[in-house]
Amino acid sequence: MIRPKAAVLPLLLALGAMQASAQDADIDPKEALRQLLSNALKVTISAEILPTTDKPVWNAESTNLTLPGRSIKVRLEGDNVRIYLICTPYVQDDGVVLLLAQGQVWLSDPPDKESKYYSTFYSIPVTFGKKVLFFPLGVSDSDTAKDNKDFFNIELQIKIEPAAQKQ
Amino acid sequence: MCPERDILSAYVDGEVPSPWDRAIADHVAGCESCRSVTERLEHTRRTLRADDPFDWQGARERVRLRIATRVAAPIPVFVRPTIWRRQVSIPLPVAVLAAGLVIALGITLATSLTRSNFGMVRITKAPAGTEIQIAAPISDLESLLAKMGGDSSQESVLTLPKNVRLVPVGEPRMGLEGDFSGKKP
Repeated sequence: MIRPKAAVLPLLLALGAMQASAQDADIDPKEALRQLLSNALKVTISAEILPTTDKPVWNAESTNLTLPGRSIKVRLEGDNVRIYLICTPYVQDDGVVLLLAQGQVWLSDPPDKESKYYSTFYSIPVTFGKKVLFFPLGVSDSDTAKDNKDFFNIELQIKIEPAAQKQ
Repeated sequence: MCPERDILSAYVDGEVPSPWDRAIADHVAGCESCRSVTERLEHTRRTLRADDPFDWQGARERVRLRIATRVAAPIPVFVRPTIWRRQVSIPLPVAVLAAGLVIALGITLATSLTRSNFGMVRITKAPAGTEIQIAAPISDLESLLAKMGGDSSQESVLTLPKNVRLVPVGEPRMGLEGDFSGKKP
C-alpha cells in the first residue's frame, strides 16, 4: 500500500528535474558570447614613427577586444629597439576607464654595442574614445625635431572604447 | 561549682547517665541559678513539643485531592486528518517505476545544481570593478574569449620598418593627448 503523498513526490521531482534540464539546454554559446561582448572593451593601439611629414614614415595599428581587468599586450620590434606595452583597462563605477599601462623599452646603440633598458608604469583615468599617448623613447621639443633631419622617434596611441555600442 | 549550660541542657533532655544525673539533680535542688536555667530549658522543650507548626495532615490531604483530580481529567488526543490515513493500492510495477524515477531525478538534480554553480562566471574587482554573469560553463570560457577577440594572453607584434634608426630623447612618458600639446617630438 502506498500513500498518495508518496506517489505525488516522484512526479514533483520529475517536473523539477525536467525544468533544470531545460535550463541546461537553454545555454546558447551565442548568447554567452553576446553577454561577454556587452561588457567587452575595444583597445586600439596605434604606432607611428615621428616626425610626420607630408608622407608618413610608418604607422601601424593593433585592435584587440578584452574584458575589464584582462590585459592587452603589444610588442614592437625594430632594428635597434624592442618595445613592450601591456595595457589593462578597468571600468569604474562612474564609467571612467582606469588604464593601467606598463611599458618596457630595450634599446641598443650600435657604436658601443650596449643596450639600455627603461621600464615605466602609469595609471591614467581616461574616458571612452580619448587618446592616451605613450612615448617609449621620450619627448623632446618640436624645434629639436625640425633641426635634426635624421631624427626619428615613435609614438603610441591607446584608445579604449566599448566593444558594443550602447543604443 | 555549677555545671555548664550544655550539661544542664543534656540533663533536661535526659541524656546524662547515672549516677551523674543524680548529682546534678541534687545540685539543681539547692542552687537557685541552676534551677532557673533548667526551668527555662524545660519550658522551651515543652513549647517545641506542644506546637506543630506545619499541618502535615492537611497538606497530605490536599496533595491526594490534586492527584485524584488530574487522573480523572480526560487526556487530549491528537487526531490526524483522515486524508493522510487513507491508503490506496498501487500495482507493484508502478511503485518500482516511481522509485526508479525518484533516484534518477535525484541524480539529475544534483548534477544540474553542480553544473549551475560552476557555470556562472563572476568577475569582481573593487573599486574599479566589473561583474559579468555568463550563462556558460567555465570550461567554455577560453573558447568564448577566443571567439570574442583572440587570445589576449598572446602578444600582438608590430614590426618596425628597416633602416629607421630610432633615437631616444629621454625617458618613457605617458599621458593624455592634451598633456603633450606642442611637445611632440
